[in-house]
Amino acid sequence: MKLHAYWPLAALLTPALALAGMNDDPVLTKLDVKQLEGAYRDGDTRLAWNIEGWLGTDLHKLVLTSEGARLDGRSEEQELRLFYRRAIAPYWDLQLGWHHAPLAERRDDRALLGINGTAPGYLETEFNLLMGPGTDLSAELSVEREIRLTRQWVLSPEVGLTAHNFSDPEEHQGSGLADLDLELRLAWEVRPDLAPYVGVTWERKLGDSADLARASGHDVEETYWRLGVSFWF
Amino acid sequence: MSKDTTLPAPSRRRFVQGLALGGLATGLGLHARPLLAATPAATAHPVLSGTEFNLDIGHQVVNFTGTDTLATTVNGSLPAPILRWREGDRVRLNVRNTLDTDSSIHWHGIILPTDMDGVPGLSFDGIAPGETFTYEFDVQQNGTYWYHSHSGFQEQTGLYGAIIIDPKEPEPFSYDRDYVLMLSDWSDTPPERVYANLKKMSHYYNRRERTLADDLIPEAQQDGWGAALSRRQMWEKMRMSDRDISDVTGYTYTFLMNGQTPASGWTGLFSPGEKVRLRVINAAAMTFFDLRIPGLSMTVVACDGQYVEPVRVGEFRIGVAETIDIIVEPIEHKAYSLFAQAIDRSGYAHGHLTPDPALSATPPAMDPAPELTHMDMGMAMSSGDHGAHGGHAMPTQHGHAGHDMPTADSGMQHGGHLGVRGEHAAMPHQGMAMPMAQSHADHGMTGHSMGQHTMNQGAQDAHASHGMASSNGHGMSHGNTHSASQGRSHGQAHTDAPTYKGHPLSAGMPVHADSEYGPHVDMRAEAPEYRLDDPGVGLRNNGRKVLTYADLRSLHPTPDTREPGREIELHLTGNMSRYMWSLNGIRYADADPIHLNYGERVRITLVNDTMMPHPVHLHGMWSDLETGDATHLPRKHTLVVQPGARLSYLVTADAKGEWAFHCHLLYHMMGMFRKVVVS
Repeated sequence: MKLHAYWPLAALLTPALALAGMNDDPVLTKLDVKQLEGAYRDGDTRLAWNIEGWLGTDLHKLVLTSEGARLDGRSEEQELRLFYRRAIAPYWDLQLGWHHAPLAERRDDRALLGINGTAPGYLETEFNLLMGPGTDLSAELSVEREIRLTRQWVLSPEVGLTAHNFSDPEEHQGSGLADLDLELRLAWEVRPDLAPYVGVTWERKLGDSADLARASGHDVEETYWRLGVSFWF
Repeated sequence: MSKDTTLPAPSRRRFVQGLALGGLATGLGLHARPLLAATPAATAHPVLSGTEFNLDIGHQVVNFTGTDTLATTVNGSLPAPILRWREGDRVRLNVRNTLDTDSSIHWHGIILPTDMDGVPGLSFDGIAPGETFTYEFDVQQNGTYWYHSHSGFQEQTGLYGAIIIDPKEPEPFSYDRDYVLMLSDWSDTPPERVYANLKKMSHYYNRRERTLADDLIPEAQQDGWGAALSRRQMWEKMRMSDRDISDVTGYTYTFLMNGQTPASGWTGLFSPGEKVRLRVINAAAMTFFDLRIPGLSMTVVACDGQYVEPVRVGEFRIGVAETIDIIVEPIEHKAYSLFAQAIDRSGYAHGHLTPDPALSATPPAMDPAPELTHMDMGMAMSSGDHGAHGGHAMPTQHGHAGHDMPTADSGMQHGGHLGVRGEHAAMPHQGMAMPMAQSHADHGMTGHSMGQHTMNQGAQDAHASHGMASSNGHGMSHGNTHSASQGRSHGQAHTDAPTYKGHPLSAGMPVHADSEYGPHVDMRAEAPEYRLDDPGVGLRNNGRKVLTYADLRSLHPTPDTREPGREIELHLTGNMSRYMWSLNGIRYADADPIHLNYGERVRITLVNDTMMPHPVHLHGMWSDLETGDATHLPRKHTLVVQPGARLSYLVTADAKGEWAFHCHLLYHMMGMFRKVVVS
């Protein structure tokens, strides 16, 4: 058992039978469907999702996430991340791995380095740097907080920001602050692991990114109404 | 002593078929229950007595909630049969494992050879499927104990039962009836799943987190938004919840009394005027209970199987794995409610003490759910929170208005809020500890229990110790224990070592080891005090006399009167949000054993760096709780360390071998565990 302390990844390879006996730190898996929703805008309803799965122990996890949206059987956005998440402080984890955007022309595979955790005030905070190719760098920050209205009604406001150090007209990505994302979801927590919700989100392109979008005749601002469910096991 | 007892000593296995499966009585009609229907419930529980016992561990379908679930039982019974031994006998217990996984039985609190202790990996290899292991040992003690599986999570699923050992010598009290009240917590969710849920979402079972509608808005309307919000602020900053009382709650648990749900209601009979002995055993996996019997005062006569000077109380908290024997004298011809609330008030176990099976008692309303205070965080009181917590923060209410801690208050204004994160060295208690120790030095360091009162109060009054005995109501039990000379007289038997003169219970600043820093530990107590006289969160100032550890005084003199040769300090540590538990920040899997020299007398000091009470159990040897008394330390096998507090006890390492030492909360145990080697 001491092996775990010195060779953390060995823990990931041991079979997940470890719950028996005196193992305080068994290898567990969690599939966290954070959002699985219909996103409605201008008469169209997209299917959107944000799913995180992990395999690991208290301090070391292998994480796979998928986020995206589809409309009429066609993917509009898609992101896959595969990374190692390691606890570095009581409330903070370090993330290191790979970011994949299959629909991107360039920068479809990038390195990911970030931190994830709970800031004082129960602010669920995630900050990632996406790196490559070359010196291209994107930064993304999201902060979310649950506000428990009653035992079962939970309101979750979330703010997201992205920024780039490069400009890519085709992807409508401009240097500097690029996207602002405000989201609000109201969930009915049926159980701690099951909560249907309604939500509204507002996304806006900023700065150069907004100019690039406008120049090619795209919207710089989009509002979606969302209806979905979150669950985990 | 008369014992027209309801725990007869029938020939072995006579009642084995009398399944006390409480769920069967919930009126769901899933199973017939012939024996209970025909017999007063109290006698229905199987009792095995004699010197040879056959115990079969197996599975049994139970139904406590309306859903059939598989329990782990002994001889098909949940709780397992009551075992009745006699002090001085040699008992043989043939334990057959019919499960398809390893099993074991540990005899909790029983002094026996290490290879009979039943801890897989330490005492033996466990009992493999299909095998029978025979335990055999001399019964060297008497009183109320219990037994349970020490394998996996089998204890959660029902493998626990009571042990009653009849004494050789007459008992120092009399009674007419004798009942076991075994409290436990049952979940239909498999324990592996409960544990995984806690790892994935530590507050999964806490359904009492603060909400806007139920808490903040009403408070704001009452006290203003500024006050309501600032009260939240500290907890929010710390990313902790003052409503985090129990890890696993009534959200999944059904609380049982002798295997009966509150709905089925275990029933014990009495005739008005009789003295009834209740042997309360907390066999829960995770739940502390607060027990009272509205309309009756209870006289505590034994704790963890050992006689104590009788203490009359209106209520007591029983930690997981503790046992408390009480005697009650119901006079009226009416049913009394045996009411055991879970510490977080998420539910209760309930039974009836009634002169007539047709009469049943209605449980009272549960008390308000408790909220943690700064003190429970191991912080000094925060001046900013006086309004919110008022008297709570004071461990005791002696009415010593003059002692309102000028130093403490000023210190707290700086250190109060953030001290727990380690940025501030909250000074006040250190500052207080010093003059305290001095004032006791003047009194020959007698260190009776008042010492700790003095401490907690920050009493500058050097005479306080004498005045306090009566003013806090413990006078009865402590009144004659103050003089150091008494301690000496007992110590004369041991001329080779300095005589124990009591412990001043002074709380110096804790030193937190490097291993306590990192992602696996979320807080460290900055000012952990001895709080033996603190009834604990949710019981302070509730208008009832609540038993505290400061009330416990052994009926017999402390057998080993040597001054301890050394001290081992252990910190109970964890990270609640990651659901990791450890001692000194080191989990069992990574820890070196604790070594005790055979024969030595050692002080073990526990500092609770977490926000919840932990019941700590040392196998194989008694733990003599240091109450400040010099001569009559209560002997215990399980000691509850309150959140943010410290306590110490003395152990005589008189049992060679490898012993377990651990937190008895089932989902903490795997991390908060040490092997103790005596050689």
